[in-house]
Amino acid sequence: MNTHIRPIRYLEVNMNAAQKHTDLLTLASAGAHAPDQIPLALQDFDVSSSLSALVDGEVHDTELDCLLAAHARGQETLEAWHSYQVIGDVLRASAPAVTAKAPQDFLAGIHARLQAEASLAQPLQPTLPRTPVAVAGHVRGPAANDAVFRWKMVAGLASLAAVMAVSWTLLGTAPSGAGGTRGSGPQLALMGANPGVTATQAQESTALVVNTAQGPLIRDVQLEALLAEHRHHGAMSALQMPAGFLRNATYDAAGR
Amino acid sequence: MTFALPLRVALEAPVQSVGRWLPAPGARRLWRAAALVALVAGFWAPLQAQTPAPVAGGPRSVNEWLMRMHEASRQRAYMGTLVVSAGASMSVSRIWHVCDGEQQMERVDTLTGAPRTTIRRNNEVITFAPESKTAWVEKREALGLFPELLRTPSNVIPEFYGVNETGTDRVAGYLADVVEIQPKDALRFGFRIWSEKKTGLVVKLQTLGEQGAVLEQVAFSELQLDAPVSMGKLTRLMKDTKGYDVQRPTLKKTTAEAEGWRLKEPVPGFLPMSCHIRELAEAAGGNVAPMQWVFSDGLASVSLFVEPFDPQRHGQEKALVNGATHSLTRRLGAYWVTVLGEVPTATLRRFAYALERTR
Amino acid sequence: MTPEDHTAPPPPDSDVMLVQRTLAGESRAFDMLVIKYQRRVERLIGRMVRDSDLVQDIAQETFIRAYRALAQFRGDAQFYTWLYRIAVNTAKKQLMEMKRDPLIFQSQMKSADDDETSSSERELNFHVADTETPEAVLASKEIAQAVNAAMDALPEELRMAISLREMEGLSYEEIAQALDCPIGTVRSRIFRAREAISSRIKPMLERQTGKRW
Repeated sequence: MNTHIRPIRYLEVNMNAAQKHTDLLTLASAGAHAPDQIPLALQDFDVSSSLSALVDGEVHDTELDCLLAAHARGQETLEAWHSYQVIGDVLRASAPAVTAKAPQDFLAGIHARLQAEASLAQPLQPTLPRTPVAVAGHVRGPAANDAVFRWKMVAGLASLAAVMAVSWTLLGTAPSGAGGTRGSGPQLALMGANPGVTATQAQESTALVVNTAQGPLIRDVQLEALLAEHRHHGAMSALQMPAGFLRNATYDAAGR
Repeated sequence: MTFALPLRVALEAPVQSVGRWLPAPGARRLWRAAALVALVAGFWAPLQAQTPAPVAGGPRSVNEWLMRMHEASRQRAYMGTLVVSAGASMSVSRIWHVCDGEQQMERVDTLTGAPRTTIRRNNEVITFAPESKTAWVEKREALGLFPELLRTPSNVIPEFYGVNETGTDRVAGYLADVVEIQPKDALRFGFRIWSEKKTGLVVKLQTLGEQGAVLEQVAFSELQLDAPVSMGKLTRLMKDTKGYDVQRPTLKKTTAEAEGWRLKEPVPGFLPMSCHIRELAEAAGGNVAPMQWVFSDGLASVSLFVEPFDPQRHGQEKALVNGATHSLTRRLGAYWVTVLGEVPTATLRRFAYALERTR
Repeated sequence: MTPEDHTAPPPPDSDVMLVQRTLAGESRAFDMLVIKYQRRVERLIGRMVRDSDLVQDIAQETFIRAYRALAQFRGDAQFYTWLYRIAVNTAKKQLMEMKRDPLIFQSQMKSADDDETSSSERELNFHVADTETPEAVLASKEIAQAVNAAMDALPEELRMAISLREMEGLSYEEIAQALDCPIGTVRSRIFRAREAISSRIKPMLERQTGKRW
């Protein structure tokens, strides 16, 4: 009886690829899979692509083992990890692009203090660093948030309205005609000129609907813009002051 | 290929400051009459120090509670940390608040997400985005409506909401009365409000949906009442826009009738409050901002957005929810309607299907 | 999740995985969490504290306290939310111990005839004034522009995949559905996109830190 921790997609694999990962095949066959079918998560297993997948939380435990082992052998893993994180943060403007202190130094400082703690077997007292941190080039600055970032606008961060992107949950589709009932349930579709069109063609469309385990998720930038208008100019409530206003200034859109 | 978002760009285009936005003539007339009545009756007292006491020593009515909560923030200075949570997401900000009886000032610094500083003086609001050195200046008429509106005949809150005091609880170190404002029908949501015992200040607020589910919560995690917040300092901060690209988005006030719309059937409890269209610069490239028609029952508000139908941008009709805010979109002939509000979907549906073109 | 459940699982949170590994004794997993959140924590603390040395000290202390308290992290909340609370508490605690007044409290209590200009004071809350040298701003812009240029130069399908992941936050499963391609392809495209962008920004990152890994 095959018990899975979670359902895994299976793909047909040619035997050459399979032969590359004989140890994985052993694992796979332990789960009684057909020899030409390998669980997707165990496919395509090279360290760099694993690291990228780890950034997205899309790795299996076994991969993570190998990744961490690779990390132990050299620093390339951390360097690439840092680079990948900077890319993501820059695209989303979720963090500055530059560190105030070189990551290597920052980490080293933490390790040093943890080791000192362990050897002293008592918590360190917070102290000022005795020598000033070498700041040449390490100084933190805000990520440039200008017209250069066309893609960021998809996440809605460049405007007054959205401090974080909104995630709407689909309740149902409204049938045309008055007094319709709730509707037939979540649609798996991409909004655009024609439903079913792939995201590549959704140039003017601003909504993306995908079926997920949490239910269909929609990100609709236009709707977010209207939501901001509603909150700024349409929120007429006796509770607006102070609660409503403060709430809107804290976030104009729900975080992910 | 890029993800081009014409509407988003349009909203940010700098526009000339044109004029003040005023509520729709109907509502204004109501107010003026009500204000006169209130003045004559001696109830108009913005400088009054006392918070309203219950009538005849009994439990407070819903209006009395709302007045008390509102007045609390007009009388004192405070600062603290505010946490807004809806579902799994949490946003945090630092708040400073001060008033001198006439003017109210507030400052909100986001602690999560992109850095923003919002400073408000009465209903003028400026929002700074330090990372992009952009600032937006707006007058938010919606902020000036209450509590005067509570005293007018157009206040329908007691008709549609009941109130129940359910006990006391501690929030951010302060003892608070827990007050539940319950809707009398299924067209609106309820609230659970923690009102600081001595002052009445709202320290925690939950919007409640079906079966009392908490749709959204706003709460102080830290609070210091009577903090030494300097109004002079806040004023200076508000005015200093040096180095900032200041934008002044403007609204063109109008009426639904003038735009050719009406509701063939009103939605119980919801009165029309205002109608406007955001002005866009030439650079918007032919995009027209939607008309926004705002309704309120005193506690919940609904915005009805109407714009020309664009097959490129408008797709399937759907009902969505985000925290307490529900949304519904609908195609109406050559138009696309988006209804947004902190009300159940059924209520939004009523608005969407009552909307009718008059010409 | 039972075998009969055919819906896609929620995208696993790599933070939770890294936390679990750290608790299992893999300090390298913790290194990755530190690298991931260093900039965010620095920025957060920089909003509360003016002195850049102190910001560093508190930022490192934040991760140390997080490391010590890791067993208490309940995977039901976001890791950064938990880390954020530790950062704020660490900052406040350290500032009080050093008897330095937190900027955001004390600044409000200064006298009305303070000489400081308002905007710099406001922005000190976002840690701009003291440590934002022209070099830093330039470095930041440079990296941002390089990312942008690299995105521009990417083949359509790579840019699409990485956009959907990084900016829309979709899981591989969701992207595969959106783009109508196998998950393996999604993973590979995102990796290749990252590699292409990394090669462009690598010299800048090295220049900025002045160090090689």
